[in-house]
Amino acid sequence: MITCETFLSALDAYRAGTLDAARSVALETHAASCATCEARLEQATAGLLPRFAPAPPAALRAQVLGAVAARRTSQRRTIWARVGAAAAAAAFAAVLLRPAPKGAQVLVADSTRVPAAQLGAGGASAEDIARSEFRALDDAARELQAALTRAPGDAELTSFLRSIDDQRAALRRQVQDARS
Amino acid sequence: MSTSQTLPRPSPFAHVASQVIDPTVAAAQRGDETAFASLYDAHAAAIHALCLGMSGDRAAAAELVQDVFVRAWERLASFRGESAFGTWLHRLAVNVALESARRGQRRSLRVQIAADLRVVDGDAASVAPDGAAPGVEPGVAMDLEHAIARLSAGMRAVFVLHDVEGYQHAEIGEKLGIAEGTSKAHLFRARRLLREILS
Repeated sequence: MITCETFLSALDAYRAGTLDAARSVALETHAASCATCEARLEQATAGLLPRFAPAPPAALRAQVLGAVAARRTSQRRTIWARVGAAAAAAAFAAVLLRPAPKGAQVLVADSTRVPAAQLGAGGASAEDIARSEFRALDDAARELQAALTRAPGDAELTSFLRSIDDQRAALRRQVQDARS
Repeated sequence: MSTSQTLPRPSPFAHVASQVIDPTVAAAQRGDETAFASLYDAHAAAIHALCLGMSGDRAAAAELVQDVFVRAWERLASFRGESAFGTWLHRLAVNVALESARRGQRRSLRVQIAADLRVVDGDAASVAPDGAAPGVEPGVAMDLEHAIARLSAGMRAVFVLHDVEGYQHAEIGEKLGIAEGTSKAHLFRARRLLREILS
């Protein structure tokens, strides 16, 4: 360990780069724990290094903005897929909710997860499937609302959201018709 | 991954009236890619300097810059104007660069810094007799970019965070998991080695 006096006596040599490595380390270690000598070191070495300002490569702009555009497209595809799935689910539920022939038994499962070929194996009522489709529409609406928080006022997203509301209203009417 | 999983968390400052957001930032928040390109133009040089300094490699820096701006695009809605947009972007960039450094290092930056300082404590033999830094050919002048690339990842991180980004040692200590005094000692050594490499 060195003292502040030793530090001061070696500071000029440190600044000039003529102090050996071991003594340089000793000075740095002392300055790291002594506010006064830290300020002295800062003052003595200020401006000795050039400013670090490398120019970005010209091609980087197109690369970065291209990646951002691709990300946006990917987000839109996800939203489209959600909206499409919800719309298909709602249409499927509407078919199921049509009055069945007397005596016929409608056995269905969650249409958003089970292929049509497997329907009939699970055993859910038309009311169950309607509830499931309402949930699918709600999920899609949440996706759209989340996307709208990232892009407030986006006309396309707003239009999607409106179509979800329309589908929900249509499904509600189908349910009422089936019950009446 | 569903987009709902990437929803920004509500800001803890949501109850505070947000300051006026720069019109270009606001336009980018509405999905205007031209506005976002303007933000890139305004901040790319500084973000690139940060990424190049932290990585010490041009190709890695380009990837980091891309990652920073893609994440900025995804998280723009979470920017509420509590700080300048540049400050928000730089904080994001520092986190991206540090995450990348942690992934790329076999040892954590904290462990690496501790190891570097142990070398410093007894490194008279590892420094060339003419005072040049280890691995540097005497008499070969280098620019600062290449000189920084010669530093260890831990030393680069401390130097860039303090001297390029303007962080205080206490903040650097928190980010890297080291003591404030360790950060100072590392900075002094980094500057000295850079001066030696450049001379």
